[in-house]
Amino acid sequence: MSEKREYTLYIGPNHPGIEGNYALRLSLEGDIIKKCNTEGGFLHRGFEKLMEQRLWIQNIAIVCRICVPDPDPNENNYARCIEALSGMEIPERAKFIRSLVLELSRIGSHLFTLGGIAATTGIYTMPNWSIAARDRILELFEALTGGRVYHLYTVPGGVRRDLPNGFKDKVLKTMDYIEARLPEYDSLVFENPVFVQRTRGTAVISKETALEWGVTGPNLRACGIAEDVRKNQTYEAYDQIDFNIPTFDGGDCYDRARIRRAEIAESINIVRQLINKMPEGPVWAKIPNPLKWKVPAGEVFIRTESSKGEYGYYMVSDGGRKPYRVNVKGASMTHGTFVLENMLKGARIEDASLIMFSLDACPPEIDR
Amino acid sequence: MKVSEIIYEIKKHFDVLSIDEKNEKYAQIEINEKDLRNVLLHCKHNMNFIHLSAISSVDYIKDNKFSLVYNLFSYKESILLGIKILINREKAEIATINDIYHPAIFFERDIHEMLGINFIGNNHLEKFILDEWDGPPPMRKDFDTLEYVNDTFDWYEYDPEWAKKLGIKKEDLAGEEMEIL
Repeated sequence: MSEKREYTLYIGPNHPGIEGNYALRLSLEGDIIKKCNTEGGFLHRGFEKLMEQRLWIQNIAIVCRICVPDPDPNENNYARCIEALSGMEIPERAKFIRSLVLELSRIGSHLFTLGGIAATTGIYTMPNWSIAARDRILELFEALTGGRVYHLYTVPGGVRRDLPNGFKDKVLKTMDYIEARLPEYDSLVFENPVFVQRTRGTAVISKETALEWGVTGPNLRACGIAEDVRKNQTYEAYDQIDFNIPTFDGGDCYDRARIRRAEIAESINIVRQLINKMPEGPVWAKIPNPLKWKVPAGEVFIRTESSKGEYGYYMVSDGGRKPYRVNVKGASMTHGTFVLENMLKGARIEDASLIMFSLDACPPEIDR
Repeated sequence: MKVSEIIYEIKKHFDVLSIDEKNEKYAQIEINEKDLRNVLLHCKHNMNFIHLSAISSVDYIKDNKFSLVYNLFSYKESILLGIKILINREKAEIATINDIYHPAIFFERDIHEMLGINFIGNNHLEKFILDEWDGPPPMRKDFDTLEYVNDTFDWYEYDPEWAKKLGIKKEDLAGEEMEIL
């Protein structure tokens, strides 16, 4: 028998079982994880410092890159901070278009994550299917904004341009397509005995622990707490839309996967309502000359619901042409660090990737 | 419940230096540094602010201060409350609050790394992002990125062969600096 019982294993920073570039340093005894340390910094681009050296309008090109799979909440949050500081009202139609963009982005991101969760349990068909479905969302974005992954579409004062001709029909067709695919995902993943066995009861977070740890978004709703920034501090056009917050009580990996599937269905409902209720009118309020724009002095903290959880931007203006400080709080700053570290304690090595994907931790958000 | 009622409650027990009420459901107040822990405990246990959304820090170099803003959210009342304190820039340290709000454990680590504020009692302040960096905390306002690049890296002349063949001058290859910046 070997004397050495405990050994260290790195998963990442480049590993198919890790979302983005991120490392987990695991102390193992047999195949049981005794301790986990997360190591970030592989995606650090110094965005917060960069933003202090750019004009208000230039930063739109930076903020969307903070979260790669779900960039639009960043643009939206940044724009709403500036609007709050300068007391700007945006046109009603722009609010609807912004909400539409946010929901499409949410569906795309959840499809990505669903594929990831299923792949970590060995169901490699799911990422092929769901990423193909996500591609249809990216095509919509290409038609709307010209960009597939980064859109630079939501700008202070509204959105960059109006919907192109025939766009509404395209969106509705894509929604019908994705909705028709959902039962197939159910039979492939959620009714699959292998998946159920692997995920049921794995990495359970109780309600009390979730609240204490500051878990937000879908991960919190999988513990049975119906909290959503879209409802509890509503923004854009969400107050005019009738939608539910899906919840599950298990708090395990299975429910964290299932909640994302339920949210896709709910987002499809929201998108349809947005398309039907969308008023006519302008899409961009007049803003000052962006090259000379001085945003009034002040400080504000604004939150958005992203597909990962609660986003927050803290912005300080000193009345100059550049932000004095922009501090970004990504949802994964809690999920990807100590929540993940605590969940992995006592878990088995083969579940490490599953747990990380089920929490939907997004490393670029943590590193910024 | 409105945020003004919450502030009225806090005022009964603690000094509130300034109030910035944005709307019915969001306000930011400034309090004394010494009251911070007690205010947070009061907010958490008596007023349902169970969620710490973020801690943000700003370097006010002209006033020789750092600000720390603790953004709390109450799920019950749907109220967002920012609690701001100012601390001395020279002796940048303050007691940790991760025993009150667990998520602070990472927010404090991040601020310690980026602004160099020491959180007494937080045992998890090791480097996370900048583990190969030995310069000053980069988010401080006196850290100039351009100056650092000029001091650390050598510039080299960009004069490629393809440009010579086409007769393009070296000066024309360099981009012009934007005047607005």
